[in-house]
Order: sequence, then C-alpha cells, then structure tokens
Amino acid sequence: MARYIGLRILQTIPVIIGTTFLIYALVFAMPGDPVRAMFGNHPPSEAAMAVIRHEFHLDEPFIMQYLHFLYGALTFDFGKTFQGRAVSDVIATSLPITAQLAFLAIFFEILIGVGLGIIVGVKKGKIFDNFILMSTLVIISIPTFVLGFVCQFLFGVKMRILPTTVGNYVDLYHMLMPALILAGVSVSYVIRLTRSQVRDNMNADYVRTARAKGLDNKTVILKHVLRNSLLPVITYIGADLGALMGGAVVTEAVFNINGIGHQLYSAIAKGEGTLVVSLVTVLVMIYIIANLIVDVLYAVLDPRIRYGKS
Amino acid sequence: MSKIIPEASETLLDVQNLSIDFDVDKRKVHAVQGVSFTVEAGQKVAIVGESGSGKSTTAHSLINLLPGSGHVTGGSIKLEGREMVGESEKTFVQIRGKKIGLVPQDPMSNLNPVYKIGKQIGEALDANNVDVDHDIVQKVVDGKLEIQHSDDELFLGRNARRKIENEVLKIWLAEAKYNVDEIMQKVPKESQDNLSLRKDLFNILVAAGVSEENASDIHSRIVKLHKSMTVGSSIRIDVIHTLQKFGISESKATQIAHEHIKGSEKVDRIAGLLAEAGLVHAGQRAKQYPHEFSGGMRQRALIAMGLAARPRLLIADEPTSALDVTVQKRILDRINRLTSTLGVAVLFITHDLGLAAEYSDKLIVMHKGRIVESGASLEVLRNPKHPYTKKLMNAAPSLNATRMISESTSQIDKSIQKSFNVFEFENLTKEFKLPGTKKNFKAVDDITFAVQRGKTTAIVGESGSGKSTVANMALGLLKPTSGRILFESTNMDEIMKSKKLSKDFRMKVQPVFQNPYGSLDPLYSLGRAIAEPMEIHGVGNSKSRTARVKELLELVQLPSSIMTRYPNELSGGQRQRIAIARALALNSELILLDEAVSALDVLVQEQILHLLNNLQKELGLTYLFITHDLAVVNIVADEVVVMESGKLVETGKTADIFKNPKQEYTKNLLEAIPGRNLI
Repeated sequence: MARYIGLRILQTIPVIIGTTFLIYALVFAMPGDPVRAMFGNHPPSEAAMAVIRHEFHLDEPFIMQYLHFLYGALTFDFGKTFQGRAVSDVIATSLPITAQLAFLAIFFEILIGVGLGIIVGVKKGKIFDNFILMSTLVIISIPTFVLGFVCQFLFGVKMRILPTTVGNYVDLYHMLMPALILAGVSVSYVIRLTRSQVRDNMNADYVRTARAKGLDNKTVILKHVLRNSLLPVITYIGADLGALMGGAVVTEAVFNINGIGHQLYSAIAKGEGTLVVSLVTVLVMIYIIANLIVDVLYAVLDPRIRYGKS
Repeated sequence: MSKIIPEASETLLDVQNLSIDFDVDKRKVHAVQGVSFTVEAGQKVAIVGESGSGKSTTAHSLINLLPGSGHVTGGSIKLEGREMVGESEKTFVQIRGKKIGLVPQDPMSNLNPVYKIGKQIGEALDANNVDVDHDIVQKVVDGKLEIQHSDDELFLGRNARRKIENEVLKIWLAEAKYNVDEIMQKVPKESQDNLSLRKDLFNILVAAGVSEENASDIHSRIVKLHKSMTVGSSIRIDVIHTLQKFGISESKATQIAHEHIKGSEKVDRIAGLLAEAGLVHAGQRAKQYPHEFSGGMRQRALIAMGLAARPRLLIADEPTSALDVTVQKRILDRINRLTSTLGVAVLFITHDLGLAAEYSDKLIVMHKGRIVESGASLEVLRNPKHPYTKKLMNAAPSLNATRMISESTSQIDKSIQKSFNVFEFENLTKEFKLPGTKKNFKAVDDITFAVQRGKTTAIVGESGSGKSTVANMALGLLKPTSGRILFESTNMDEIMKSKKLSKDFRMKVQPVFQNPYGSLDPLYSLGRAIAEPMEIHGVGNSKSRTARVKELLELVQLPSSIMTRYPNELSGGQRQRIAIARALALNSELILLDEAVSALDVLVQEQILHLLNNLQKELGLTYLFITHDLAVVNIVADEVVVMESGKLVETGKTADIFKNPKQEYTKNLLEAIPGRNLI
C-alpha cells in the first residue's frame, strides 16, 4: 500500500512539470509586451523598462524564465502582481473562500447525489425513478448563471429566506445558496451515476450469490452493492472537487464571492500574465492532489488496484 | 461410485406443475411450463437441457432468486413438506444457505472482488447462525436464536489439535516404556506446548533421552496424525475415529476428544470449509482476494460457500462449464464426494448429458420449458425414449465414441502442385519474461509437428499448456524465440518480412476465436463484417462482394436476409457461423479454430462441428483445432497433438491416441472425459 502511494506521488511530478510548462508557454506566447502593458499609454524610458525586464527575468530566454518560475513556485514565491501585491498573498486570501464553497458543494453532492442515487437505484418503482431522472435532466440543461439568478430572485428577493450575495460575509449561511447552485449540475450527474451503478450491481452475479448464502436484503445492499457501486462515484466526485475549485468562476461572479475563480477572471481581463499562470498552477495542483487522494482511496476500496492488477 | 438410492427415502423437495413467466417488452414468455419432479433426501438429481430450456430458471425459482421480471405463475414448490410458492422474501432469506445452498455457474463473476475469500465464506456462516465461535450461545439461551447443527458439528480448532497431538505424543512415549514426566521435564520450556508442531521434534526427543529409533517412529506417526485432522473441518466423531486408527483405545480417544474439542474459531472453520472443497493451504488462501485465485480455485471457494451452513439441498448450476476438463472432473468429484459424506441432496444443472449421468441418480431432461423425459440416470442413458433426449445424446461429445469426420483427402485437386504439409513446426520454442523477475518462462518448449493439407490437426491441452501460444505463432502474431515455422515450405520469418508474402499469408490463413460475442464488431452489420476481409484485400467490387457474402451465408446455412442485421440480434451459435463465414471469405486454405466451439452448448456445438465437417469436404480446407476438450477432438480430428506445460506429450492419429494412449498425461486427459465409462 505504502509503495502504491509512493508510486502515485512520484507520478504526479512529471504531470505538474508538464502542465505548468504548458500554461506558462501559452500565457507568454500571447502577443504584446507585458512590461509595456503594465504602464498603458505612458511608457517609461527604455532604461527603466530594461530594469523591470531584468527584475522579472523577461530578458532571459523562455526556458530560463520558466525555470525561474518553477523555482519560485516550489518555494511558494509566485512573484508580484502589477499593483505590487504578492501573488502568494492573493492566493492566500482567495483560496480558503473558494475551498469553503467547493467543499460545501461536495458535501451536497455526496448527501443529495449519492443518497438519492442509492434510493432510486434500489427502489423498483417507475414513477419515482422517472421523476428523479426528469428533474436531474432539467437541472443539467439550465446554465448555472440562469439557475443562480432565478434562485437569487426567488429565495433572496421574493421569499427573503437566503441572502442574495456573499461579498465579505464568508459564512455557512451566506454560502448555502451558491454552494447548492455550484453543486446542482454535479448532483444530477452523481444521482444518475450512482443509480445506474446500483442498478447494475443489484443484478450482478456476486450479489445473487450473496443472497443465496442467506444474507438479508439490508446486508446485501450495504455490504455488497454499495461498496462496489460507489467506486466510480468516488472517482467522479474527486475529479469534480478539482473542477469545482477552478470552475466556480461563474458562480463566484453571480454571488460576488472573492474566491480564486473571481481573481482568475479579473486577472485574465487585465492581462496579468504572472497572476494568471500562478492561479492556474495552484488550481492544477489542487486538481492533481484531489486525483491523488481519489486514487489512494480507490486502492483502499478495491484490492485489485492495490495489487497492481486490472 | 455408488448409485444406490436410499430405500427409506424422505421427500425433501416436491415440485408440482411449476410454471414461470418472464415479461419481455409487455409480452409474456413462458420459460417453465408445468414442471413436476421430486428430490429425496440425499438424492442426486440432474436437470439436463440446452440453454433456454428453463433448467436454470427452475433451479433459481426454488430459492426465489429469479432474474429480472421472472415470476412463478402457478404450481407448487414444497420444501420438507412446506409450501414455498407465495412465501415472503423473509422466509426465503431463512431458507437460503441454511436449507438450500447454491454453487453458481461462472466462478469469475460470482465472488465479490473487493472482499477476501475468507470473509465471504464467513458471511455464509454468520447469516445462517452456524455456531462456530460459541459467541452467540447466550442469544440461544435467551431464546433469541435458533442454532443449526449444534451438537454434531463441534469442529476441531487449531489449539485443540495441538493439545490432542501432545496428549497422543505422551501416550506413545508411555507405550514405549518411557517415564513421560521425566522426559517432558527435559524438553525445553518454550517447546513443551507445541511439541507436535516442531520440525525438530526428533532432535528434541533424542536430547530428552528417547532412543533414536523410537524418536523417529513417534515423529513420523505424529506427522501422519497431524495430516489426518483438518482444523475447522474434522468434527469430534472424526477425531475419535482417527485417534483409534492411530492405536488409541476408544475410551481414551473419546475422553481426549471430549476434553479438547469444543468448537473451532471462525477462521479455522472457514479454512476447514475451504479444505473440504479441495483447496490446499486453505488457511492462507482465505486471506486472499478473488483476483488472486484461478477459476478452479474460485469454484472451490463457491462450493465451500454453498455448503458452509450444511444445507439439505445443494443446487449446482453448471458449476464447471467455465472450466477445463481436468479441473471439471476434480471439482465435480469433490462436490459428489462431499455431498455424499454430508448426506446433502444435489440438484445438478447441466447441458451435458454425459456429465449428468455420471454424477446423478436421477435425470430430468428439459426442453423449451417442459420436462420431456425423466428417470434413473443409467436407464435414461441406455434407453432414451424421447427424440430430444436422443438428440442430446448424439450431441454430447463425451458420449460420442464414433468419429464424425471421415478422413477425406480425395477432394484436393491433385493438379495444383502444393506442399503436402500446410504448416511445419520445427523445434518451436517461445519464452516469456516473468513480470518482476529476470527469469524466463518457457511457454512453448521444443515442439515439432506438421499440419497436413486437407486434414484436421488438433492441439489439446489444459489452460497454460502453451497451445494458444502455438496458435499465435502460427498466425504470425508472436515470434518464436527459437526454432522455425514453415508455411507451405516458406519460412514464416521471410513471409512476415515481405509485404506481398505476408498479405498472401493473411488471405490463406484465417482464425475463428472462442468468444463469438467478442469477435464481431457490434457496430458492423453482419454483411459488412463478412465482407470486411475482402475490402481489406481489395477483392472484387461492392456488387461482387455482396454476391459473395450471400454465397458464404448459404455455405454456413444462414438466410441471406441476415446481412443487414447486427451481432446482438444473434445467438452464440449463429455468431460463430458468421465468424466462420468471415474466415472463408477470402477462399482461405487453413482455418485456425481457437476453442471455437468451447463456449457453445452441446447441441449448437454439434451443429457447428457438422458444418465444419461439410465445409472441409466441400472446400478441402485444412483445420488447426485448438481445444481443451478431448471429447470434441475425438469426433473431428485426424491428428492429435497433446501438450502439457509447453511440451509436446504425444502426437499421432486420433484413433491410435484414443485407443492406445502411451503417456500417463494423455491417459489422465482421456479419463477426465465425463461419461466415457458409462456406455
């Protein structure tokens, strides 16, 4: 087991290097001079610009620039924004907010998604099944921002039971609606995935064998159906954690949350290369770590993977 | 094998007029109609029929585990006189495992991959309140639980065995006129308790003053005694008998057994069940996961599971159809012996009449959901009345003593000068690297034989014998490590190097694989699947290809209307016909049949074999037939090559090998053919 985890951690190293390199290359392949862009219509003297270029290693070849960046990233020194604020500071303030939002969303995903998925999967009734399938389809089809605005209007403005925006009030009460909206689409997928997995496993041969042994329905479902059904669901949710952290751009905008998505959006809009690369790098790392956790969890749950067999 | 039906029989299971329906697309399919039969206590009954005959459905209805929309529509199932039709799921939970055990069909899919084998067997013990740990005694005292077999099944535990052996050791020392206390004092303290388990017992005894002669005698007797008692499986009475066999008086043996045997721990019981089912090193095996087990080992685990709670009836649902013949024989022998010892009745479901007859007292033949014939096994076999039974008999390769395919070489056009041998394998060897080590493993080891034109050559062996590796090398998919293959007198190396020659080779040699479900692209219409080889080799235009496809379909006796349909609409046998048609599309000369009929049930198998036979006569084809089933070889092959762990064991004409096998291994393989000695 320890060997497996060690191996998986080693595997993440080339992935991190590869992705950061790609992002770095893409951002710096964008046209225009970032130093000129910093000063807009009133550029300073060439000599001053050269000093700034030197400070940001912009006068060195691309590969050297990347290595400087990689070294900085490893020591959590991502450089400064155009306003002179340390990038690591921006990350430190915005990341916890996004993390809170994402984890709350994941919590709903597990609670509602897995819970309803199991119930629908186990129950044989057609009407309930169709109702759940239809409503998940509706949620999947509506874009997040539309759903967000509708909910803001309904629960915030009309009924006045939940706050419409978050702003500086980062707490459970204010985060409730954005987290639900953020989780919405994923919940629908999780319900569908869990349902089909449970259905398949209910008909699996080994489940019939478990029944033939004399196990009662409850034990069969809890011990044999669930553990096997949740394997792919865990993969989905784990990958989704990464996606939710980075993909909260729209939700953060609708509910005015100063999270990483929000920062990323404005950095792109302003053309702040350093900030964009740094933020994306952080997101990539979160994504990789989330996947690593999923893989390890998967190995714990499925002995076939633990022993390196398919 | 005893075929005696106990005289004072008690009806265990009484099925009357049972009917079962499935709802398929709002249509009712009558899977079982008016089936009646009985199973007496301890009796072995077999239900025989092709797939779709309703035999498995009947069996599953007994424990209310019908798949999908299946439901009993009428009739009665009485278990020990109690009506089960219409009973609640709760009642069936009580019945399953405890009264009726199940050994399912496919060992690969019937174990939960995420739990250890031991745990899965332990569940069967727990679910049925089988008292192994005595930790539930209190619940029984409180009247909350009812225990099954509480008196007669006090199993030998690990510690009990050790203690018993030590006592016996002392008795033997006393018998050899030694002062036991004196000697025991001289034995080192740390080995006094586990003396019988010590490998250096001989040395310890000698050091304590026992003569070398006596010490070696006692040591070897203790080892024998140790092997005769199985932890978790031997019960008190067994141990008493064993001790008596080793010269302990009855009263003393009874005293020892009663003093020490008070039931085994669950781990020991699980190991005992696995050992009963024929698994070696059962204690360690129980800690492994299913994926670390071979098919045969998994099936043994499933047998242990089915018998864990000592049911009165065991349903064995085609328990060996996914296994090799030799493994099949061992597994069925084991089920047979175990159930006979335990007095468990068996309901054996199979499509092979030979197997059924060999392992049952009574035969029930089912066809399209009805019973067409039933009676004492040998009676039915010797004197089949219903035409369907006769058909099954003719189809069962195990019962077929005569060769179906006559040697026919006259069809080959002599005017075309061609080499006599299509393939020649010379000192063929293939080595693989064992993963994780630097060792090489010889999958094929120095094999020499030839495949004659217009004849059928069969390569026979168990899984792991290297027969499929030979097939892959013959197809040019693997390169031999040493030795060479000649195809029509040209070296395969040269053929594979030259684009033109290899293209030509691919036209002449075509494979048909075992799994007809996996070897057809589900998105290709059948016509397109058959025409694909012609497209690849640029033969004809689309019009002539369509004509050829029609011709091929006629050859394999399928309607040409099937062209526009897709693989999922066909049965296994029909798909295999399509695969054969595809192999013939390029006027190929040699067809390599890799277990091509192994996955089919006997009737379909027979049809395909006949088809192959006719095609050979008509087209002068050469077959290289890879199989584990000697029974099939007997009816199709002219030449046989027997392989075992990569080596060639024996080769020669089929008739010679079958009449007069020279090697022990071949004899064993022949012995494994079910029902061979019945007629």
